[in-house]
Amino acid sequence: MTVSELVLRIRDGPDPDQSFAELAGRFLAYIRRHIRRFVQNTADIEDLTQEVLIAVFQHIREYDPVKGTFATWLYTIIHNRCMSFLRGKHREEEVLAGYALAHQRPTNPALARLEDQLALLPEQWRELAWEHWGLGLTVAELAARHGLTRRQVRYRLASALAALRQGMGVHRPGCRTA
Amino acid sequence: MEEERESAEAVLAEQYGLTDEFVDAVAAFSDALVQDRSPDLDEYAARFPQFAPRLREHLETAIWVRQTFKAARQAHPGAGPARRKRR
Repeated sequence: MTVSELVLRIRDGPDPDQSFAELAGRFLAYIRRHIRRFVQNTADIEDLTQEVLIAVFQHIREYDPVKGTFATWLYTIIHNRCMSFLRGKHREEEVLAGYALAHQRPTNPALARLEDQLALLPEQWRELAWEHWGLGLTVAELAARHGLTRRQVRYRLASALAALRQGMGVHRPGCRTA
Repeated sequence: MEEERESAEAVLAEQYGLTDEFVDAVAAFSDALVQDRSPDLDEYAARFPQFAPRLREHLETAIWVRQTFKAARQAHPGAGPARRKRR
């Protein structure tokens, strides 16, 4: 049976699960081989393989043989999943490294002063402050990361600024964003 | 849990005299700031005369915090955050 016939069976055949299992079996080595180009950890490769297979099953109706081979379409899914995985992993590492950096006693006096004030804030405010102004995560990204609403993030950030100003009790002239 | 969080926002609002409109204005500026879109402080503060001078003070503090953290990251080029690229 050709790949195109298998795809048709998955879409409209009497036993789509059986047909999908056969298709997956044919492309399993292909999927793993390409994932291995992105990640080396065995557990990650297995997780991504499962994700790719699920995505293929969910989107099989979107495959159009006129536009290209099944292998090419499959590779697009593999590539997108792997890139998404790597971006997420990279961001996690950045946050951890950045948070560790923020907890070193700084030699920069301005940073030392800022951290003295941040230390007085609730822990989540400090995290939000570092991730927002230090790492550049937006309000929407912070809300998603911490399971908060955007409104809650906005209030915490504005409150952190209010507390910092209050704690320092100074006006900072000449601040420009350029 | 959600109610607790909402009440936390109410306490903050009371403590610092914040309103939805005010925190929205701060957040919009700050988002532009952290995305390195160089928002103009004077022009932005002028859009909300009803919040003068408090909004300006908040925005100046945000700029200072951003600059301080950025300087810290630049001083540690080997650290993760310094290698960050935006999506």
